[in-house]
Amino acid sequence: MTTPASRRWLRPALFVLAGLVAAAAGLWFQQRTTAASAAVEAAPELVLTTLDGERRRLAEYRGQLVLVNFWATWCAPCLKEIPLLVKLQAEYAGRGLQLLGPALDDPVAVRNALPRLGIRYPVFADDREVAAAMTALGDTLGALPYSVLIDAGGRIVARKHGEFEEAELRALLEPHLP
Amino acid sequence: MNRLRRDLLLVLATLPARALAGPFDRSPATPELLPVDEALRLQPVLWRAGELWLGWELAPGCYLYRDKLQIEVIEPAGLVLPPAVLPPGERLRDPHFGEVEVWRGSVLLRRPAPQAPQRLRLRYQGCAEDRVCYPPVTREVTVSAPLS
Repeated sequence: MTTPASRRWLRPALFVLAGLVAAAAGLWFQQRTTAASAAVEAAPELVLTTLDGERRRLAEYRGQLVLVNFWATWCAPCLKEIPLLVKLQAEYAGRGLQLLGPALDDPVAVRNALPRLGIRYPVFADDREVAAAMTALGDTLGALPYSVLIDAGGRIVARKHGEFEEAELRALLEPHLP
Repeated sequence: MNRLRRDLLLVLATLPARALAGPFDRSPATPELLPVDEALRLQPVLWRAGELWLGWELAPGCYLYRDKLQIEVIEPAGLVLPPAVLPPGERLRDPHFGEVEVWRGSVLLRRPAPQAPQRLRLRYQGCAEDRVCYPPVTREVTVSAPLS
C-alpha cells in the first residue's frame, strides 16, 4: 500500500532510475564498439614504401574504404588473421574496400612470406617508416596486429589491436563501404 | 513500500558499477592489452657468486619465446659468457611456426658467469596469447653486482 507521500518520492526516483538505465545502455553500446573503434578524426598524411621501392601516399586511396593492417612474419595472430583479410579484400574489392598491409619486419622475410600467405593487396616494409605510421595512426602499444579503418572521406573510423573475427570485421566494414 | 524503496536504492547505488562491469567486462579471462614493458616486465639483472640472474614478470596471458632470447655482453668488451642452459618452456604448437617453447609467469634464468659483466644487451620477444605479439625488444641493462 503506497501513501501519497511515498508516491511523491517514487516518481522522481523512477525518473532517475530511467536516466541511469539509459546512461548505462549508452555506455554499454559505446564500450561494445570501442573494442574496435575510435573517435572520428582525419587520417594523417603518410607515405609508405612498397617491397618494390615505390612510395605510396595514404591519400592516394581516398574515395575507398581503407583497412590498414599492420602485421609481421614473426607475429602469430597476424598470420592467423591474414586469410580472412585476403578473403574479404577479394569479396569487397568491387564495393570499394582497399586493404593495405604495412609490415613491421624485414623486407626479405616479408617478400618470402607473401606467396604462402596469398596476399594480393599492397604490402609495405620499412621498419622505421612503418613504426612511424603505426604511431601516427594512433597505436599506443607497439603490438601487432593493429588495424585502422579509414573511410572514403579520409576519416579514421575504427582502430583495433588484435585479430578480427569474421563477423566482427564484416559488421565493421559494411556500414562504411562507399 | 519500505522494501520497494530499499530495492530501488540498491539498484540505483549499483547501476554505474553494473554498467561498467556488465557483459563487456573482459577480466579476468581477457585482461587489458599492455605496452610491452608492462606485459613483459624485465627485472633488474643481478650477478651473484659466479651467476648471472635474469628475470621477467610476465603479465597474465603473456608469454616469452624461449628461442628468441639473446644475451650479449657490452661491457667489459670481449667478455664471453659460457653457453647458457635455458630452462625448458611450455611447448606450443603454432600452425606457422611449428612447435615453440614459451615461458609464462615469473621467469628466472641463472646463467654461469665467472666474471661479472657490467652491461648487457638483451633481446627477447613475446606475445599476449591469441591476441597480439610484441616486436623483438632490445634493452641495454646495467648489471648489479655486490660491492667488492
